[in-house]
Amino acid sequence: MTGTNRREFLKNGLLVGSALLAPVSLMNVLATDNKSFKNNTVRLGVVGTGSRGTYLMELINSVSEQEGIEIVAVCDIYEPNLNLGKGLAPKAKAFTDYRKMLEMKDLDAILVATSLHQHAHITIDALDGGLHVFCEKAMARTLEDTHAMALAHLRTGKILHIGHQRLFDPKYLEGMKRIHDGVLGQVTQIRAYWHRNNDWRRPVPEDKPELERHINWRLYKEYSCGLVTELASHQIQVANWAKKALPVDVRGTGSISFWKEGREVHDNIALIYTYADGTQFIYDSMVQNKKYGFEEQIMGHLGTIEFETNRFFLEDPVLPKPAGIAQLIGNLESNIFGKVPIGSSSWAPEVASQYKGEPLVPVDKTDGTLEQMIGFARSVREGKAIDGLFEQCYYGSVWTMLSQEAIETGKVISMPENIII
Amino acid sequence: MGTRFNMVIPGIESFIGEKLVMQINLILEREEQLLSCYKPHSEISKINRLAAIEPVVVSDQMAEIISLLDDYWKRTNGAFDAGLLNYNLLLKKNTFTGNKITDEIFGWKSVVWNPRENTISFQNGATGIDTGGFGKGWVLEKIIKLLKDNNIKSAFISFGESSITAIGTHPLGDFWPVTIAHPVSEKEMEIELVDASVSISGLMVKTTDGKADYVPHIISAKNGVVVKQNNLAIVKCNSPFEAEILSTAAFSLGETGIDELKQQFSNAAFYFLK
Ligand SMILES: NC(=O)c1ccc[n+]([C@@H]2O[C@H](COP(=O)([O-])OP(=O)(O)OC[C@H]3O[C@@H](n4cnc5c(N)ncnc54)[C@H](O)[C@@H]3O)[C@@H](O)[C@H]2O)c1
Repeated sequence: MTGTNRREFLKNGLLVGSALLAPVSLMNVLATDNKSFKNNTVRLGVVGTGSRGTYLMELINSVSEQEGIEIVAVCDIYEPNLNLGKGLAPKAKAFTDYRKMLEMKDLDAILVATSLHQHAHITIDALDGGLHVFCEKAMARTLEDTHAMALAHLRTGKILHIGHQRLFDPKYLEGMKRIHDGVLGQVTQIRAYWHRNNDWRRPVPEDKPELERHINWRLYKEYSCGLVTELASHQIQVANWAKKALPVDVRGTGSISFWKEGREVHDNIALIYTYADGTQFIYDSMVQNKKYGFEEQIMGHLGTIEFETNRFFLEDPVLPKPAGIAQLIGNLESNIFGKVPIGSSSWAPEVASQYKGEPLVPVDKTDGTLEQMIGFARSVREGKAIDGLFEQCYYGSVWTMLSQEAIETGKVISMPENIII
Repeated sequence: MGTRFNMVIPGIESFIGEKLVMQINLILEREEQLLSCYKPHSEISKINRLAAIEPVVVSDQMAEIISLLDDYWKRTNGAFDAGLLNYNLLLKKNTFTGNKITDEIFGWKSVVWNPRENTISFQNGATGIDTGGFGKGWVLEKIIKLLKDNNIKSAFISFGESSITAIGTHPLGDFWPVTIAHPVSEKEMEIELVDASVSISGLMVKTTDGKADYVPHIISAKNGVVVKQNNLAIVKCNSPFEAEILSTAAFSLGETGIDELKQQFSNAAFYFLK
């Protein structure tokens, strides 16, 4: 597809990359045998060894031998966290300035798991320095930075993976296959939400109150867009993936309605996205009630998927016949003189008459993060990106930024043409 | 009784319904204490443990039941045999290799019942009373009495989907229409019930994975062979207790062997469904 064609395609809301990013191709990435690469270790540096960074390190350590991945450098500007990183990779070189780390020889790639506003310049510097990068989601704090990261990736030809682990989660791969194969029929509405009930704060050492903004960066606009970048970004990516398209526009509102203790980001947001085919994607997130947890509900005229809980529902399931008595009651309630069927369904234990759907995958034991780490390392080793993967993530981050703009301006926001890649 | 009890009483006031549910629960609990082979402290379990060692004095309730079982054994010419508990257990556990009773010790013929003394004893340790072929019907008798005492004119009860009882008629018709389906062939037959009960006996059940399976629990009284046929034996009559006993007997005799039984119990209707 030529550049102009591609722009036209995207302007019409269709996501080019995702056409290539068929779930099967991702499954193949994970299914290929890795033995031949045993002698070719992928050498990683980790920038930002806080909560997420150390979690990723633990996962990598768990497969470092079988996958041939080694963490050779760690970097953090906050000493207690750097120490955590050193603890997980005792042989790695430790840095407090990532630029020093980028000068290391024999480094193949870096992982960026810093606070959001630091993602862009670290990533761009690394790509320009000839390294492949795995950067946590969302890509950046601003639309401009997001675009600049994409340009650096295209300019250098180096791999840029973004931390949308659902792209590697077997239940999402299976569910997306069903959606794209039409099993759900026409998907016209998506609902997603992420609800928590806590102040979303991390403890700050009492003797160092000046660390508040550094530790609780999520709560300040300079560093983060709060719920939009930290939580919604995942689900925006899922909705676009399910639709194989980008929204035409987004509108939204947000407020600080409960945690009025000095935070700058909203604790309560609502967004509506419209796709070219008329699909509505309704989103909300908050941190003062956790009853509904988090979910993405993909609703077609033939079925529904609830991804986070690994559930698949048909609108008209072929159910075992309800026990005779249940039918009798139903008939009596509708004033029908119906026959009471006995013995046909099951005599032995009568099956539950309520339809609870079925799991997408039989065993749901991963959220895809480990698989994504493995996938990234394999891409690095081959020097070849997974087709369409970056675009998925890029436009996910773009629409994350546009969502924030919609909330802040109160306007209906569409994607500016100049950021299409 | 290890199974599900379903009851529908159309148009009943909810507070009366709730009271009845409580009373029925009490009946179920009480009768389980009497008849459940799964409860080690039930009266029947105690009899089954001790009667081969010494004569056991039984309660009046139990005496009534045993007299009836004895009576039906005779009237069905042995086709209904409530004494095969241990034989059935052996079959279920698959420890019994053959499928013929070579040893003539199993069954009601080894039960010694003394109605004057209310004592029961077994001539050997292989005999035991299996309540599976009449227990639900017995309990249903008690429940029908409770409902009638409470002036209930219309009700439908399914006990484990194999014992069905109808009181009065469906509120929208002149009878309760029931369709009985064969669990494997899915062939159906229709039965109309007015103040009557139906009992269904058959070995085939559909397991939850949709496959058919045999549950060996009825033994032919004629030759002691486990009945392995796809038929359902269905009996309709006024008493749920008698319906259950006769469907067990009819099943063990098979479709071609029930002429005498039909004559003896002319008030009952017999059907087979393949
Ligand atoms: N994919 C997911 O599900 C997921 C889950 C949690 C967090 N995250 C992402 O991971 C990132 C980090 O989140 P976190 O919870 O670990 O935060 P954190 O505050 O625990 O860790 C961030 C670390 O980065 C360090 N840091 C900041 N600027 C730096 C710089 N210039 N150089 C080196 N180190 C620097 C901080 O000192 C801190 O140790 C965020 O982008 C977040 O959105 C992703």
